[in-house]
Amino acid sequence: MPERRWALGSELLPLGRVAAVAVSEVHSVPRAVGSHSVRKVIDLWDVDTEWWMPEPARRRYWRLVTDGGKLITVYRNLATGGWYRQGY
Amino acid sequence: MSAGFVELCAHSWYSFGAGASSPAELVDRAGYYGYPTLGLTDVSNLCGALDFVQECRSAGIGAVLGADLTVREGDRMGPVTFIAENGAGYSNLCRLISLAYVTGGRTTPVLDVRFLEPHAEGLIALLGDPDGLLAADISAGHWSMAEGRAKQYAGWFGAGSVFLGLQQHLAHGDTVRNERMSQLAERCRLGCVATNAPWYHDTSRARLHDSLTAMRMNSSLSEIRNSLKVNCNYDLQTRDVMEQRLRKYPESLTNTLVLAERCSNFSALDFVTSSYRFPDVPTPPGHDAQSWLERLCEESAARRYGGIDRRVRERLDEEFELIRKHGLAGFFLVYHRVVELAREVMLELGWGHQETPLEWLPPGRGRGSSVSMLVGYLIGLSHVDPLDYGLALDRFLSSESTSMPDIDLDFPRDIRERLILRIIEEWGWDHAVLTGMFPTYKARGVIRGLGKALGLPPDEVGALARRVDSNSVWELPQLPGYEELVKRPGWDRLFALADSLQGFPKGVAQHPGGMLLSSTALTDFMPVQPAAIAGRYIGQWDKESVDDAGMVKIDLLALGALSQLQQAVRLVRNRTGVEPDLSRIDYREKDVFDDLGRGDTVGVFQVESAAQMQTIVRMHPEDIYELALEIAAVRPGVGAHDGVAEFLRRRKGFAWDYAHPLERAALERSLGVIMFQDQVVQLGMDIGGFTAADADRMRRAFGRRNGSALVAEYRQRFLQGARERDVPEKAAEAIFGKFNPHYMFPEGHALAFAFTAYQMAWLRRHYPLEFYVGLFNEQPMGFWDLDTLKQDARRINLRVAHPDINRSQLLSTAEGERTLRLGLTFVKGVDRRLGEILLHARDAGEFGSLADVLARSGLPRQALENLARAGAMDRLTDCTDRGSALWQIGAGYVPDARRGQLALPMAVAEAPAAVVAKDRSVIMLDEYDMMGLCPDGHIMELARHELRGVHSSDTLQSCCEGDVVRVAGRVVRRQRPLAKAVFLTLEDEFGLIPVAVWEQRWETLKHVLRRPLVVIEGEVSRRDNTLNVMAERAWPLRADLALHAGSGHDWR
Repeated sequence: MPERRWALGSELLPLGRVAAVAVSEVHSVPRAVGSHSVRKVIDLWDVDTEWWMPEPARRRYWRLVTDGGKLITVYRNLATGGWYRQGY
Repeated sequence: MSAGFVELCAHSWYSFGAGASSPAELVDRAGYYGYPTLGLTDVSNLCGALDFVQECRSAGIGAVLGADLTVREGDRMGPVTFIAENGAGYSNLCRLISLAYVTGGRTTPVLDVRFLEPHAEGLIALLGDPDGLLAADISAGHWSMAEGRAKQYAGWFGAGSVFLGLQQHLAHGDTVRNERMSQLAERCRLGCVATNAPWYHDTSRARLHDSLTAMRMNSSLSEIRNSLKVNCNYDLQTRDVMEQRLRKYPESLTNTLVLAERCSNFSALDFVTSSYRFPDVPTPPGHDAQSWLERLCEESAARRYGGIDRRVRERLDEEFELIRKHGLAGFFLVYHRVVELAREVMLELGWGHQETPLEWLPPGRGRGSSVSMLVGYLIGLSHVDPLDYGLALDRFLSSESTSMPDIDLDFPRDIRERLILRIIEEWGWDHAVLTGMFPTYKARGVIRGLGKALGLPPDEVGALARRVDSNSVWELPQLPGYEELVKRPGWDRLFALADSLQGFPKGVAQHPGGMLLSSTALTDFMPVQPAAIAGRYIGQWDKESVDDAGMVKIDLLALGALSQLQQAVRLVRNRTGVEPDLSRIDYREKDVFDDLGRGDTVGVFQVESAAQMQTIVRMHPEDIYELALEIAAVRPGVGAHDGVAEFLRRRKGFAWDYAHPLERAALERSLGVIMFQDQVVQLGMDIGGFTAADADRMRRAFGRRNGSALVAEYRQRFLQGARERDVPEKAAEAIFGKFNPHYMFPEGHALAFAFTAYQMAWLRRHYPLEFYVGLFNEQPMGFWDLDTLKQDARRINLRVAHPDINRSQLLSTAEGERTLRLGLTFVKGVDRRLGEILLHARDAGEFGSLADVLARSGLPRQALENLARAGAMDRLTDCTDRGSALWQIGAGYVPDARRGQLALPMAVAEAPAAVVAKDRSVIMLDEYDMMGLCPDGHIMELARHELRGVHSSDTLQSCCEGDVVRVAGRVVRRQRPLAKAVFLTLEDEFGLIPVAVWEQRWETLKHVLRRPLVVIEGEVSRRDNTLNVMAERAWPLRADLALHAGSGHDWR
């Protein structure tokens, strides 16, 4: 899925493409990303726009700290249910 | 424990181009969520403030008022929210908003930061908007700047009145910003306030909010995606959600309650009502307002009547007593002052004479129920003597009246334009402004705006918009092709969004006439902004809010008919040396009434519509009062119960009787049919036993939105009153059943219009050339287009002459006794400025040839070509025909001839003669394109030879009732009174053809009948000397010609 500029804060720039990722969740909150469990949820935000386009963007983003202390961002495509890791 | 929360920063649809919910929707939703208070902070205005306050009052919710203002600091700017804690704060808010417009820009209100300190009292400032400067500072890590800014505001407003706003929309960056904002607040010892700053009451409006943003920015959604909100969480949220999202900052939630409490003692409505003061007019020593008004009236009465007889004395005493009782003397004196100012303007413009007393030649004319006041007649507010017609006062003013009376004045356009400026000059721009109004989205604009926002193909969007013949977006599903379009991607969204936009205000505009005057500065309680026309200012409230605030609106209306009269009178004076005094002409002249009775009324005020023409022919009025009845008859309120037909039937002598003898006093003059508002009031008094004021409230109840419960209440009281007067229930029911919500005229208003209509008909009969020159020059007047006016002028033996480069002035002029010379500015592309350039060049001598025009006129090539195509060069010696004239202009035009640039070596007079002369049809169509009319022909002449078996308007006159005929012509007018039928007027080279289309038939034929040229088949209907073709079938006629024929006027 191509990167979308609006998904970023104005101070951020795309650093890479997104990739599908396996996320296990409890009550829609990610508990593990791939083989790493989630230690802490730092932030979450929603994107729900481009409703006028053939493929509207409806996503929930999570900023997480994994058990290894790594800071990652994942999002769930609310239209398809798929999880992706954002490359920044 | 719950922290509690109320929303203090909601935006309504008065945040134009962004807010996507009405105040009522926001208040309803707040009530549903159980909020005790709601705050409204629209962008740069308080347009919806009183509407919002009333909604909150009805819902039992506290109202907090504020506004978002863009504040400029140096070269940076950003929004800050201000909330009024008390009257001082509310006043300061009004002043700040006004300053933002007056100093920052009419269309881009921006407030310089230096204005904040002197206007800080009573205001609470909310910093921290995600788009604001503070948020930008802390986001960029400029802590010292952010701290300095916050402390600066605290210094101006007080630390207890500056709060940092926390917003959590689940948008990227909200969490971090809130953390930093909270830290900054702690560091500066300021409080935080939670808000969702909603732009709509429900997430379902998020798309509309985006679309409004795109429409405001005149762009597509894709083009402005970075300016759009990233999600749909900008709605009015529940307390639970807000508590959940901002649970880390409980104090910010509690502070909303603290602020709501601090603002709770302030009532904007009470504040405004107590702040507003209608101005006083100075009176001479020894007089108060009442005694001075009485003196003015008595002096005028002595001049008018040659003395004050018993009849005049009694009426004056009655009116003086009412004026004294209601304290209205100052009110009338202000109107008198306005009329005096208008008279000064009139004299400056060269109309009238200094020595003529004001009441003999008033500069304007009253309309509405105020015409019934003798006082108004005597101080120049009206031109109708109410004693001559026994006009009753009750509809205008009674002893029980509780609201300020309403006086409307009509003026010629030029007088009104200057009068408004003169009034602003006299009272000051912050004491005299125009009432605002909020134009709403109409179907065509909605389609174009949304089509662009959604990125739909512009050609298709334009084509769809052109097919719309209603203002209501709710009628879009009836458009042909809707079923297919709505299935296509993008179009489905357009139609869904269009539906929500119905009734949305687009912005602030100027009310057509209403001015507000106040002895206290209006900017102390109502924001004011400059109007598009320099020197004028508009208040941010519409007439409903002005009414709510108890303010008096002075309606100064521009009436083109008066301008036309004025111009015609001057032309007559120029030609004959004698100026007709229209106030003293013979008002019983048979020839004039015969013209009216024949429907010879094109260009005659009030009686020129198709419906009026037909009614006036059937009625044939014989005096001014009958003319007033005729004018009043063609109103929806009279037609609603077939009142016109019944009146005509009775007038022809058919037997009728009152529903009860008590009706007689009210209805005798109109043969038992309710024609005027005053008669409804009178019946309320005579049958229902109401007081005059209550009877008038009953009358108004019918017209109120959602007024059915009130009408039912009045009905019970009316029937009860009737019982007490021994009126049988059946009769009382029948009488009450005649009342309806549709508009009708007050009696005085109809009379005022009848006088103006008669004066125009009189001029038309005695000075037709001057009448027509005035009529042409005052276009547009709303009814007939120039081609129809030209046809009518020719019919009464006037000649409409082509514009002439050596003879025409800017506007049309009278030549001799029968020729109307079209003006230069009647030619497309020749505006006043270019016309003046040409006249200036002509001052040095007439143009001898086209070569001379090219060398000296100074006009651009396009204007010269247009003048040639309009026939303005025909009389030049070297202009043999228009085709060669165009060739010569093309060959000889030098862009800047007058600045010394050399012309082409070939003399244009020697241009080859091989250019093909234009034939008659090309010439005619050129003239239509250039002027909207062909001075000596009609477009139907070009199609006539193809029309076999089609009647012209001439031959149609010999057809009988029931004949099935075909007619053809240019559609010059479409009208739809009360949607029972559509009336079209066709025009051919011989005259007009009235066509009626039943509503059901209209639905199938309307897409043909909206074409400019049509053939119609239908049955002839003849009634009382009138003739109509009842359309059954229709075909478009000659698409090639239709392109030039104009589109006619709709629905007037």
